[in-house]
Amino acid sequence: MSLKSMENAAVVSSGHHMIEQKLSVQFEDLDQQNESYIVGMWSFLVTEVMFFGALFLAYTLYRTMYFNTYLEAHHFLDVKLGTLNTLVLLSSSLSAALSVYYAQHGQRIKVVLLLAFTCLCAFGFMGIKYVEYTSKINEGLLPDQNFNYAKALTVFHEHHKPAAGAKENPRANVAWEQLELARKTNQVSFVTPTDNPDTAVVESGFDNRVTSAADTTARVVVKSAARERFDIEAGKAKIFFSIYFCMTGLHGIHVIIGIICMTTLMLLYLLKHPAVDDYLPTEMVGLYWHFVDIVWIFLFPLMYLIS
Amino acid sequence: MASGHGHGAGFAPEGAPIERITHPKLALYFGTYFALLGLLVVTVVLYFIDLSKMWHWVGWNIVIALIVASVKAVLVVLNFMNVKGGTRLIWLWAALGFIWVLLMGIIFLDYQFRPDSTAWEWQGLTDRK
Repeated sequence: MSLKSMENAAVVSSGHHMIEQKLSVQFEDLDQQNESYIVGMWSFLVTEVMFFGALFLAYTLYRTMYFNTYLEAHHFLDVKLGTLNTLVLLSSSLSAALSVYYAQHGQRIKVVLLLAFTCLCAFGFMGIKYVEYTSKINEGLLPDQNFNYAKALTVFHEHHKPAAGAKENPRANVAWEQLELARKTNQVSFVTPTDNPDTAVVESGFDNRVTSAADTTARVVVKSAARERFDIEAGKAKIFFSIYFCMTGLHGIHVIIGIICMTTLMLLYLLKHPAVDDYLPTEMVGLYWHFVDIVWIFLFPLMYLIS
Repeated sequence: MASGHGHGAGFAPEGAPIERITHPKLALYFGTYFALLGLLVVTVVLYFIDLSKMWHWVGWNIVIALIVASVKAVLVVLNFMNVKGGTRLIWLWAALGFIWVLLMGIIFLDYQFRPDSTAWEWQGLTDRK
């Protein structure tokens, strides 16, 4: 006798759910079976907490070390887009919770629609993240060999001139002050004006790619103290952006995995697969999705709202 | 809720109470959602208020922001993830990961008491010269 046929033989009404669950042979009763599923999923989520926990630890460590740098560098992150993304994720969490509720009550169409809405939110989240990442990369803030903090700061301060008389937070301007000082002392390697509008904007900025620049580029022979200090600040900012891209990137990968899981679940529902006669697959995916939401709940104030 | 032996009717004495997972009503989900939205507004508003002017310590904003974030996370864990209606074993498992994260904070003792102060520069809690 196969396991499957044994499973089918033991159909038990749970009594406290609206749909009937099947009892697998290895469990005493449905309560034990449900608990085992959920504890199993939580065990996985505990490993995920540890996974993200290490990155949060790195974040905290560098935040205490480079407090002022974090304060200055976080201005490059868009609070509006971050808030919108939080809103999108919270809404998707609600629809995921509702889909579990309707899965328990066997209302398949509502489950599929709510999962579709959750997926839509997930795509929206990734779309907004794409916009954010693209602008960071264009500003030269991707921490690779093209990382150009001087260019980014110059462009940023051109577009965000402080209101007249407004006192800027000195803590949040360490790198910018050093950059200005370095400019005043002419310890600047000018970028040759080209047809490229990106470089034309930062004519008076540093070009960190001095080695690859043309011979007409004026070069810094001896770095001034201000330039030295700026370079150290830029290195610290690079660490901030490394952590930013690592954490939000890993979170983004989890969102994509969530999309795959929910799409699979929707397909199973549409095919009326026996696996989704039970509500537990939906519950598992829901738990995972809420976890992704929780990670973002912490990422949002830690990354976007440093004050 | 159950007392004595937990789940696993087969190992419990005859007639021992069995822990059951209970499921919330729809209203709780919507209530949680609106509470989360409210806390999101609190989080964002908090960003534009400088609490250090009132309470003379630069750390207040982050402390309160983290408390708000934790309340949001607890709301999600209890209501959306239905740990509230879960068994004691589910409670334990849900708490484990977060306890682990808190334990990792002990690593800061190492940094705090490391003799070579040049290796680790604390900018956070002292005033900038």
